[in-house]
Amino acid sequence: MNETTPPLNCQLCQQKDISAFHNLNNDELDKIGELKTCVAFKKGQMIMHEGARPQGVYCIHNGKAKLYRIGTEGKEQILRFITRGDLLGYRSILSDEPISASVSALEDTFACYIPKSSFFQVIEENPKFSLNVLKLSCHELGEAGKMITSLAQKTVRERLAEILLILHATFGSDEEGFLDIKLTREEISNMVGTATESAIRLLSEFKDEGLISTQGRKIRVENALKMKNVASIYD
Amino acid sequence: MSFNELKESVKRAFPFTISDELAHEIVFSGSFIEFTSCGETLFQEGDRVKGLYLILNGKAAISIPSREETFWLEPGEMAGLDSFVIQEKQSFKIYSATELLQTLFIDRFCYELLLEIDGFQGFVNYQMAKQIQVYKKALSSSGNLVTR
Repeated sequence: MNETTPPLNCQLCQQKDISAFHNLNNDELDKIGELKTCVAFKKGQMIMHEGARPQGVYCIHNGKAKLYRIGTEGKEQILRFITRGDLLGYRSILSDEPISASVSALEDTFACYIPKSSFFQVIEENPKFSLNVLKLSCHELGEAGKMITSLAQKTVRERLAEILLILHATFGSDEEGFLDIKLTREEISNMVGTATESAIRLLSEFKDEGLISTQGRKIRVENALKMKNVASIYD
Repeated sequence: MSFNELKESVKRAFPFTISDELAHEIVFSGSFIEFTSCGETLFQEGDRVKGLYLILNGKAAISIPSREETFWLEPGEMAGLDSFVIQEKQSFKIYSATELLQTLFIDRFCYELLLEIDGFQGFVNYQMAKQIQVYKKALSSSGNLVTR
């Protein structure tokens, strides 16, 4: 087994403990293992499209993806990043509505696909899993609320600082201390919700202030505490 | 289904030979959706059509409440194409009509990228002409249109 591809046996999955399936027992995990299929997405490939009706959920095993919507003027707004252990498509299935945002792979990504019927079966038979899904849904709702407030009330500078902290918390850093995700300046600006030029200018300011250092596309957060102040995060 | 298997499915589904580049881009830009029972919804009547489904395997059906006959969509055809192109809400429900229906969903952004690749515009034109033919047939069978 390649370590980047998901094992067929969910009991052996390295992401089991951080996914919605974390407190399922071995028999329950075996049942899911029987029903799932493993899928690979190339860097840049679409995983889900806004407006489609998914017929199953994806549990991300390895890789990174972005969840985004295209605005009326064709500008992409990144809502959040997807990483290992994340569950995709479940809200659309539960609400029986088309998907509200698109997902595309930022790097080669491996996922397990669980068909809708199997997903419902696990939900019906397993209250612990149902509760996990409910918790996940509530968490995402809370995060969406925070993002709305941030976009509505914070300055672009505050938002950029906040996004860099979120990226740091979500993806961590590589051995050199750089954020373990390679994003274009356009993608960063699409998450902040500003023009690319503004994001580039602010990143340069952050660099001058010693908040970050850069190497090509790579960004290293040098002073997280000061960055929190810039982002107006006080908890 | 692996990326290459999907590419082969796209090539098989097309009514004429397409380039490897076009097949690659369709798979890359589309999201694979497999419907595994009859009656699953692709579009509800009134849905905002943000993309279309390219049918790879199986059949979808268009349900027109005032008519008894069903209109089928088969491999190589696109569900939701007319509403998508004219940017109107979906007029009729479209649902899976076979136990297995394999599709690729393509949204507007990807559709516009695909239009830049040789062969895709021709394919869309062909699909549109085919749909007009279906509607003509439907109208003529209801006595609303006289065909020669």
